[in-house]
Amino acid sequence: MSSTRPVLSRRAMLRGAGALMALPYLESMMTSSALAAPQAAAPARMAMFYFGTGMNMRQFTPSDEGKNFTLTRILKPLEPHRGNFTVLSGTYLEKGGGHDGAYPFSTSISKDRKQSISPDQLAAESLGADTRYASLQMSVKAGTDFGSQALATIAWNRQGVPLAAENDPHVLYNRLFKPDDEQEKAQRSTEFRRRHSVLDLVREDAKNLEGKVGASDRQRLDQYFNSVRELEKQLERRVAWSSKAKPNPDTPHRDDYGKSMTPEGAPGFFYDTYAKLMYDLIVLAFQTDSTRVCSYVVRTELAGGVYPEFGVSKGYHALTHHGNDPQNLEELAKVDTIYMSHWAYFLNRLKSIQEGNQTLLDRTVLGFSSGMGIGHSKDLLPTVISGGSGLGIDHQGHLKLPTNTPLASVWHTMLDRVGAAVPAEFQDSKGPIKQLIRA
Amino acid sequence: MRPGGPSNNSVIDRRQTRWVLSTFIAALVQLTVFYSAGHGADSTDIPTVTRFISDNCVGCHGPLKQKGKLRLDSLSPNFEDPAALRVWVEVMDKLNLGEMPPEEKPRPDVQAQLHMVKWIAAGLRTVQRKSLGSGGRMMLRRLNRAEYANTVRDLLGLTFLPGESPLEFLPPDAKADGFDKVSAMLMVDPSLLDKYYEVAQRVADKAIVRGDPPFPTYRNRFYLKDTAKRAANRYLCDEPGFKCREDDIILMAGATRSYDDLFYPGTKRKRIPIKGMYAVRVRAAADPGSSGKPVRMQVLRESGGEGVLMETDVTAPPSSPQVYQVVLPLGVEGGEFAVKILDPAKFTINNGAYRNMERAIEKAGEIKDFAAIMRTKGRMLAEGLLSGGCPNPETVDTAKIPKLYLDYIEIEGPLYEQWPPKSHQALFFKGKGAVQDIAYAREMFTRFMPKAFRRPVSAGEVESIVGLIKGELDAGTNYEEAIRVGLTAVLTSPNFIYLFEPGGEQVRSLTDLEFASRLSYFLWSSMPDESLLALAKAGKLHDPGTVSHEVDRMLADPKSRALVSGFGAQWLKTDEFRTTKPDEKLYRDYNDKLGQDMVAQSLAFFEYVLTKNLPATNFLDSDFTLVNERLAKFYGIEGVQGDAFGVVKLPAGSPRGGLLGQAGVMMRGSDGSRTKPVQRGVYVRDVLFNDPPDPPPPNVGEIEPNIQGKNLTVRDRLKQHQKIETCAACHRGIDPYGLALENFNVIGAWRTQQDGENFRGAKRPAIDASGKMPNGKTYADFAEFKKLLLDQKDRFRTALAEKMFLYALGRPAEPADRGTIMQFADAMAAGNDTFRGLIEAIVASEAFRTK
Repeated sequence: MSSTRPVLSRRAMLRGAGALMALPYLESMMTSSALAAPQAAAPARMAMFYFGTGMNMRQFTPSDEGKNFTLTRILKPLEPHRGNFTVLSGTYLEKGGGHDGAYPFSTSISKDRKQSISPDQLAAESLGADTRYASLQMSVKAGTDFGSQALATIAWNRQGVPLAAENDPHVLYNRLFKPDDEQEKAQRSTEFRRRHSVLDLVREDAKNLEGKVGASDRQRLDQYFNSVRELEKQLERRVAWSSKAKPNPDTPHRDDYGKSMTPEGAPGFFYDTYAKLMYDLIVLAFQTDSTRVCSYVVRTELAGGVYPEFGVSKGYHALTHHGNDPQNLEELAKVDTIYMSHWAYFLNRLKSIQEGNQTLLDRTVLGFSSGMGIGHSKDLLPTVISGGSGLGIDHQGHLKLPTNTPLASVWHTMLDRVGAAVPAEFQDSKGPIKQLIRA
Repeated sequence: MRPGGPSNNSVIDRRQTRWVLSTFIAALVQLTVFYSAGHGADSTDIPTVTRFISDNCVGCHGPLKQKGKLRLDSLSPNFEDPAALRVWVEVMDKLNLGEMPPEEKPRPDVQAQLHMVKWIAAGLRTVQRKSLGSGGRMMLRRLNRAEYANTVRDLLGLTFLPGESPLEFLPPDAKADGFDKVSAMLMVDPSLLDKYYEVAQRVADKAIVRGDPPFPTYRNRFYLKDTAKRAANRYLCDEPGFKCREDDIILMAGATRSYDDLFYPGTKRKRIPIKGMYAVRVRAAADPGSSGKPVRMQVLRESGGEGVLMETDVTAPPSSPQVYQVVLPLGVEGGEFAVKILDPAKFTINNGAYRNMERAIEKAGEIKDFAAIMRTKGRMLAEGLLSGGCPNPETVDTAKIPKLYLDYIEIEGPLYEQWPPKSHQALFFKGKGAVQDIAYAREMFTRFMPKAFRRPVSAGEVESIVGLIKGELDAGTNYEEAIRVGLTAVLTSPNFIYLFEPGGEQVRSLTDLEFASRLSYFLWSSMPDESLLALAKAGKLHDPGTVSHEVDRMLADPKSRALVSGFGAQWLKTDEFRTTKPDEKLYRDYNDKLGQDMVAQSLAFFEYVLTKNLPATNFLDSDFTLVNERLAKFYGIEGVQGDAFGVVKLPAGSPRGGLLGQAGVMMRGSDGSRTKPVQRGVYVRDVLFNDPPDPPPPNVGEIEPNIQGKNLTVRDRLKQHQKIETCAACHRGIDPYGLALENFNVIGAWRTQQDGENFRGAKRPAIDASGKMPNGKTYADFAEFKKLLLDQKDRFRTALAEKMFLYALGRPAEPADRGTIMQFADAMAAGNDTFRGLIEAIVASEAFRTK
């Protein structure tokens, strides 16, 4: 396990340092600590991404291996980032394939079973204590849509309950950066008091009910109990953070964040703008140390995935039923390439931010894949791990893993690199991917 | 452990038949031991059952072969083992359907088969009675989103404006088997509890008011004769289709506007001061001129407003104008009000020469031939072609033109049903002037909480809310706001969110109050009303006559719409009818309104069968359907007018009877340019027979698209797919249910020749809708197919009973519930197959009446 925790907790650094909050994380921290503490590195961050319904793997998977592998059509946009990502062939989701893959994606547990904690939430338990938000759940679709194949989230808590994701950059931006006005500040202490009393009261109610039911109903009430506990924890965190001003990040898109923008609404919706606003939010949230963990469903399983501006003739799912029709395969590759160009944009943004002598990309490990490969398969997943060179990731260009290597080993590698506490038996992983870890 | 369990069989050498026999005997020994221990049905029948299985099943489902991964000789006869029970039920079903043994094998003796089926059924019932003690119990369930919204509505007497209902704020619920009623799926997580708290705050804010309304109701009127007096609007009087007069205006084309008028007093040019209900009235008359058609008037609010507010025929003659009114929710956003005449006479006509010149300029522009542009422009000037329109000689004489006479536009609102609103009085029951103290708060919640929690409430429970309120008052919160906090806590409490019924490991009968809640959430998706509660309190809900009467009353109540939008919509999957959009070029008859009508038709059909107490078997086939004008035209049915749905009798031979004659179902089973018989077949099996096939294995892919040049029909391509043996096994049981529907194209229009995809011209192949059912019976076309469906009424009843069981009890029917399901199906058959009969059987059942 690598040790990447900063010597001083973020909260300690912030105590009484309200003015500094306005500055990006390391810019402010490094100036004061560069002399004294050379080992004080920027924190480790981790994020997971879901691209639903697979990709056109025939134009994704490189034919040659190694650091100097030939980029395929779909991966071409990543050219400027060579050395900062590794394409992992051979990953496999035992319970995936078909359209149920969003469920086992982050937990290896099939759709019809009770879920368990996802890697991002495991990471949040280790990395999330000192930030305003323990983790962020982002998605192209709001909520959880639990039960549907087109699941809106890949984050699950310890109880196996899906955590709702947000899809509006406006809402996310406000949550992260909008300062409270005077009225809000006044209302806040009232709101905290009420919330506290109501939570107290309903917890008592639930306790009274618990004594009156059998075992199976008690299990159901446990969900309620746990929710109350969780909200109380969140409240505590909010109270602790409420006296500190939110950071005010530097972004050219402030106006775009000023109004609501979701794929299902608004005429004039432009995916290119939306994608960049969403990726930028992750960059800003990491940069300001508002959170260190994020999950993002970039494309849901089964539904959605293409936009008028892509200029293709069918929905993404319809395209994946390509039936070897050359036009379908061509359009599929076209769409995949668009998504990869946004990924390149994202890496570029992360790389543009300096944290001491490293970049934000070096301090962030990112993993993306899908719940299926091509033709609704369980294998041939489009898996790429990016960033994290400063966390001891040794990128290999194109790495062919043994056939049917569990996708969980990718998450395992990431968790290992950010220094999260990983249980001895982590899903179906047989351990982190050794080739990716710098000796 | 019993001897000879399934795991022991793996040691058997499969090549040795002697061993096979001994294994089977071992299993039967097991059966005997088992039944003598009292775990199932009549053990005296064992020899007959043995013989039946060895004669008819073991050849394919024994130690040598396990077709469909099914092995019957080693099947555990422990009916309490859910896995084994499921297989026994499967055996029974396949025998019942005549699908097993397969047709190429010898048929079993009819009597022996009947005996076998009865034996399994009897075993099931025995196990079921036992299992009521453990599994098969009603589980604690939270309200789903619709139930939450309805309950808040009925509890507080609140009506929500669009965008303000809890439905808009709560996330959609997870579904199982297509229904959002299943306890196990209705989970609570931190984000949902957070939402509950937030929604409760909103509800409390709206329910309880402080002081007078922020904006009292105001009636604002703009006399259109004043148009000429308004500087900004005066130009209208000079328009050719506009005549400003001393007492009114005449509108012959275009629209009026209220630009500088109709502001709510005291606001900065706001016409609508606060979102609410408003009455919009126009005093108008009309002269149809020589058209003979009534003049149609539209009232609008554009620029971000609600758009068309009212569209109506104006029949009042100019000698006696009438007020035309609509009451509707209006928001603050939005511009001025306008009145428009539809289909007006044309005061200008297109100038063809001008258009041609414009086009010539455009073309010259594209090739950057600027000299040509200049030349054309010059010519236009010379010829006096200055605009695209010119006066229409036909409208110089206005006598024959349809005219709208407009007197005034009036906006009244915000309208309040009463002040303070009903919801306020639901808590503040003493009215104005009551002393606002803790004692009053205690009284309020003592009255209110039993309704909210649907049960008697202890003084201690009231006191915890009172304590919360006291804390708020001590912190300086005003009285109304403090009561709101109390109400928020009540609505966030597990007592409100869950349909709570205390109960331990022992099964117990429900109290009348609990029964009232179950009944009400079943039929209304909401809390019981006063009269149902009164009966419960009087202990009368144990009387079958009273319950039957209540079911009648509740189904007649408008609240039973919840059963249509809850059960009906989810059973028929109407939400999925419009998920794929038909190709606009291939299907020009289709538009969004027609699509909406398709959904509405299936729901109207359900509601009609439900409320008119018609046999549910009308879903298999019927001699009537429900249509509005648009849909009737699409179906080629004549004589229907208007947007409202009404029943029509179908001519003999019409394919439009039953569920499968409804276009929405067919559109659901299409992908925009071609039909999807497999998906349609799955739908039929799922919806009509609750027998969805297993999902296809991964990597099977889809039917290949129709590559140009080959022009194979979907049916042909499906047949190719079936040549693969592993595919054929499943598709034999699916495709017949979908291929029979091939006469319905992508948008559900009737076709006799292939259309869609690349099929054009006269040489399109004819539709072949023939097939063979899994039980070997054949059909030549859709009509014959429907007859075969009607032969399976029993299967349909069972399916419907299972679906409604799940809806009513919040859990799927398990194999152990089979006996209960059979009772329901029998009750349906005995009672003319009505939904009402099924509902009565469900609410009378032990499963429904016990915790």
